[in-house]
Amino acid sequence: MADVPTLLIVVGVVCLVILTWAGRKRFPLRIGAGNFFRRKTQVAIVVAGLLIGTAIISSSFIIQTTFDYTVRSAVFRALDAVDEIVFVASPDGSRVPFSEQVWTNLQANLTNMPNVVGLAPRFQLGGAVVDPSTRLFDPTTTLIGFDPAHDLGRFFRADGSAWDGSGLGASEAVINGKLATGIEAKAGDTLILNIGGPRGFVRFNVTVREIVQDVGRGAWNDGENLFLPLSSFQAALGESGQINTITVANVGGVTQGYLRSDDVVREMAPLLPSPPTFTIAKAKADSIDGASRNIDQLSQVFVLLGFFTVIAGILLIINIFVMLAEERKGEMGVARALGMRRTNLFQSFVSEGLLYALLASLVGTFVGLLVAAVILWGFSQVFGAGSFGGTGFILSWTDSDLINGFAIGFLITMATIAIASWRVSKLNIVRAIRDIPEPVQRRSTRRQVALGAAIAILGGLGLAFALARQSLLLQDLGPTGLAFGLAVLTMRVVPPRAVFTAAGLFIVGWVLSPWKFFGLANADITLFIAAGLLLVFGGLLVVLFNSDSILALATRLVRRRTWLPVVRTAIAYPMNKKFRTGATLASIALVMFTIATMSGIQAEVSSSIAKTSERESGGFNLIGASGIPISNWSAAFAAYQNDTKSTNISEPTRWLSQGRIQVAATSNFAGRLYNTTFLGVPSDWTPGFEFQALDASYPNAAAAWAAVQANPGLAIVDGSVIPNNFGPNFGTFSASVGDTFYYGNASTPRSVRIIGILYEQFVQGFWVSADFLKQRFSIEGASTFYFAVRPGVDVTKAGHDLERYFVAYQLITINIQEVINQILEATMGVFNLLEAYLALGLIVGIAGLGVITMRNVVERRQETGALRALGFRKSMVLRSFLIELSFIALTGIALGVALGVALSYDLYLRFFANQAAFVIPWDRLLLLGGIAFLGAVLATASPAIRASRMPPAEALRSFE
Amino acid sequence: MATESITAPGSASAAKPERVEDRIVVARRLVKTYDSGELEVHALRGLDLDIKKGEMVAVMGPSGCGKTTLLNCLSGIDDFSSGEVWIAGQRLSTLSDNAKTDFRAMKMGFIFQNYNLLPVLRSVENVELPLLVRGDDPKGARRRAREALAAVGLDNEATKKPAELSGGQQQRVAIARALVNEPDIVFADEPTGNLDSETSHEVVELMKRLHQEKGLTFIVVTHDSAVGNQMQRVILMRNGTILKSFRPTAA
Repeated sequence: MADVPTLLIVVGVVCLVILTWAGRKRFPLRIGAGNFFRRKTQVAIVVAGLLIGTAIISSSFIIQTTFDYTVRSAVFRALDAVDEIVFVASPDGSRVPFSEQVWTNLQANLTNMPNVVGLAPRFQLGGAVVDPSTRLFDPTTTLIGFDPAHDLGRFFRADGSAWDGSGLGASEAVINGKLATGIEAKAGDTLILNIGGPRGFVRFNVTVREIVQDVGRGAWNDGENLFLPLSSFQAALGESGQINTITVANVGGVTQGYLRSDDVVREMAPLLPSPPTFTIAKAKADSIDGASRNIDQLSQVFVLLGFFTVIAGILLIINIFVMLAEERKGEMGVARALGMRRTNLFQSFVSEGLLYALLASLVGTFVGLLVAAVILWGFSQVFGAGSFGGTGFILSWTDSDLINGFAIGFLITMATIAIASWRVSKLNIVRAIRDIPEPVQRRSTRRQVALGAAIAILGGLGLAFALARQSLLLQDLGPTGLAFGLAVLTMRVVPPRAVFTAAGLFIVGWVLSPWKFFGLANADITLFIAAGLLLVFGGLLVVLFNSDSILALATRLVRRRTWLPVVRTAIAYPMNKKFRTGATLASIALVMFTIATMSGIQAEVSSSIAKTSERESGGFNLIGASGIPISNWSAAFAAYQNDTKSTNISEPTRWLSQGRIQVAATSNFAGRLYNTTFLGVPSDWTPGFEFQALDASYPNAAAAWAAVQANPGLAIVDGSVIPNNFGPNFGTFSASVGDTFYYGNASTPRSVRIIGILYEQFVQGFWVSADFLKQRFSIEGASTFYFAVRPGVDVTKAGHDLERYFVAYQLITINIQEVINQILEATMGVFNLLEAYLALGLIVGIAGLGVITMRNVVERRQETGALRALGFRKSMVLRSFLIELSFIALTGIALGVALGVALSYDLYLRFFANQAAFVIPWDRLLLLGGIAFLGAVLATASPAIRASRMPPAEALRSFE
Repeated sequence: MATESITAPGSASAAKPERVEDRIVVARRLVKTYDSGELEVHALRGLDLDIKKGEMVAVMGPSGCGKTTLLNCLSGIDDFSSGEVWIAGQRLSTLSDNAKTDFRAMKMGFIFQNYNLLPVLRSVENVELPLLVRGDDPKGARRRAREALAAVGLDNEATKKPAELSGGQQQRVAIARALVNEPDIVFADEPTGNLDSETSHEVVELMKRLHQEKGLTFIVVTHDSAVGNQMQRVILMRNGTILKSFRPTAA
């Protein structure tokens, strides 16, 4: 984004240039300003039409800033003063204890680390906490042994007072609000802690001394936290003098310190002993980076989808200025006859446009703020108040958001106005004065021939480039340019209707064609936007150049004789003003196209949910994950059945062992390392998860799973490795079948080749043999579990029963269907918001129709008077105007919906065909189309009624 | 629509009605005042007028004398302030707006100075419009529109739009449109106002021919004495009243 002052300077320069240029002879500026202040109602309508583009631009900036601010706030809140975490990682993902002396040494070297302000030793483990007084438990509490004298940040008691934790008794603990709420604990309660410590399972009791707020130190990692004295924790674990974490605070405080993380790592790394291999995790910087990346994708979607509305807004601006010019055609003709140059007309229009652009951009900027507030309110509803660790969405903007929104909106509006003004200032003086219609052009002019040739050549070059570079965008743009250029070129010898209809049909057919040169596997949202624009362009060519057929069809369909003349005049008028109608049709069609496509995708996602559930679950209802691996799962589960007499779970249950590991895409480990998991599949289980890609050398899934068991160099990965181009990606890296990843180290790299990719994404990582994990990493305990719940049993309750029994192992369970439903609900909510955002663009289309109708009413006063004299009743005049605008609105809506549905079908064939039947969301489309149509009728009813009520004699007398 | 007894000019009161069935237009004490809030303009000041069936009348006078206002009030496209108008025996003030509109569609034809053809429709579609408005069968309407165009010598221009025709041709299309529904009366407001003298002459000759052939009543507002002299009678107006009515020498 350009610097704020730069954009403002550009705006200032543009204003100054226009004022100087148009004001040199004074009268163009005076005429422009005079026209602006002449009709206040018209100014209001035009400004309302022009401001939409700016509102969309500024709202997208504000949404982006809010998202950014929200994720940063959540990270700052969760990590508080901590910027980096120092630890030693074990293969299974846990942290290996190390001597407290490491911290002491670092502390002594603080002067050698100028970017560090504080270091604190911690012993931090996951554990299960049980409150016997409430009989409630939490299996995923973070137990933190801390040193009150050094730990970073402070606690905040319920009354808001700050506390560093000093004076905490040896058997006392501090818990945060989140944990207290979960287990309904209160101060004085005794809690039982179950921990899988480095030396085995440990259980001991603590007393709650204080419940602190989920802010400051208490908010740690946005989780359920229990803090106890470091020495007590070390003693309970049998790890005296040992810690497993050093937290680091950088210079710069909570919000700025993370910017120095790279420097801190550089300063600290040489001061750490080796072995063991210490990891200095840039916790805050990485969290902000990761969260920002996903949220940026979402805000980019808003920016890109807003592009459609901005295009529609540009069309509206052109339409408005063309109509303003038509209205003043007579006076412009006289002015030209009196010696005013074309440049002077241009100057007067541009100076009038300057006032419109300034006012519209200014108002639009603040309307954008309102739009953003509404959209973010919608997001809060979708994600709930507790999202982002309770931070929720906080409407945030910077001065630069508003200034950039204003400046970009102004520059786009002004540029469009300048182009439109140049076009309208070109007029034939006699025709303008006598109000004679422009002659109908039957053949292309030489200039058009040259233009057609240029477009065709560019299209051809684009096509060649697309073939050479495999460009998806040019694959669509090239043939489109070629077809349109050839149509313009051949218009000289072939009837325009035939060539432009052919070009339009070709463009629509080509963009939707499944037989293009390259597949759309890597298509992203920019291609969707380009495809949308091209489809609407092609569709418009077909509609506009077949107006006679539409007119004939419409008049044939009308059986009632008194309606025939009404329908004929109603449709003949818009078809006679192709540019005006085309621009309005395009505005409406573009917006309806995006909404229809979005609704189509939404419907496909919704209808494919059954298949998604099947693919994700692999036939199971519950996924379990234990913080402490269970070494003999069969015996443990038998004990569970025996002790609880529970028959909730069907046998067999399935389990996976797992080890955390870093992999690289290259054997020399150059480039990025990815944190992932090796998931060990026992030899007696062939998982039933469906594959979305399988190495051709394996005839079926069973063969692939058998190969994985037999060969430790082979793996199957989860579905998150396939990039999702239309939404956020949940995976950490991308991969294809046949790709090889490396682990170990550069001197003795070990590789694993991907032979299959599953659809499931709940359990992410490389699925390998459990025996291999045991042999290579000595990991054999089960830590991931799949349970099938007996029919009729409450799945969530069955999960809670398991959690309660295996609380010592910190088992947590996930109801697969419930989570999928929650994800689906959130996804549908986001879709709804995106559609609502897009629907704002309908205002552009509706405003366009309003402007057209106002203009039509004025322009056709005499004709309306003549019709009334010939026998048109008031109601017939009203009907005629309403049918006319309905025709434009419905044609735009129908064109947009038809093309949107067609593109949805295209996307369905590519992405959803194997998951569900094609669904057209008629109810939603009818509702949105109905709202658009109703809006159009309401916006245009008033001038139409006025026209019908005008006495015929007055209408016949009137001149513009 | 039933005709009714009306009072002839000069009658002392409505108590002595006189049958005037040979008169197609009767206006009594016709007043039209334009009130702009600040200013009242008396366009017609208690005007009386009788026009016989089949008569071809010119209404002449200086600008602002009320010619067009009179034509508008007689044809029912404008309301009058007081007085009364009977057209073909139908009292206009008793008709609702819709009834007046339907009455115009059935009984009247209009020719305007600016032709007022719909630019988006072809000649034949413009001509057939009055027939479609009154509910004629589309096929029959098209046939009759073509006949009307042939009658004005434009059968070869039927598929052209107004912008593709000359001013004289456009006015002839307008005449064809005015006559296609075989009206009782044709109102023409400055029909030659936008035409050169030669074309004006052609248009007036055409109207005269159609008047003779079809026996239609023509009320032509004009300020062109050459046109007025071609009519059977000239009504000369001044200040919203009829100054005199006379037969021009050429007639």
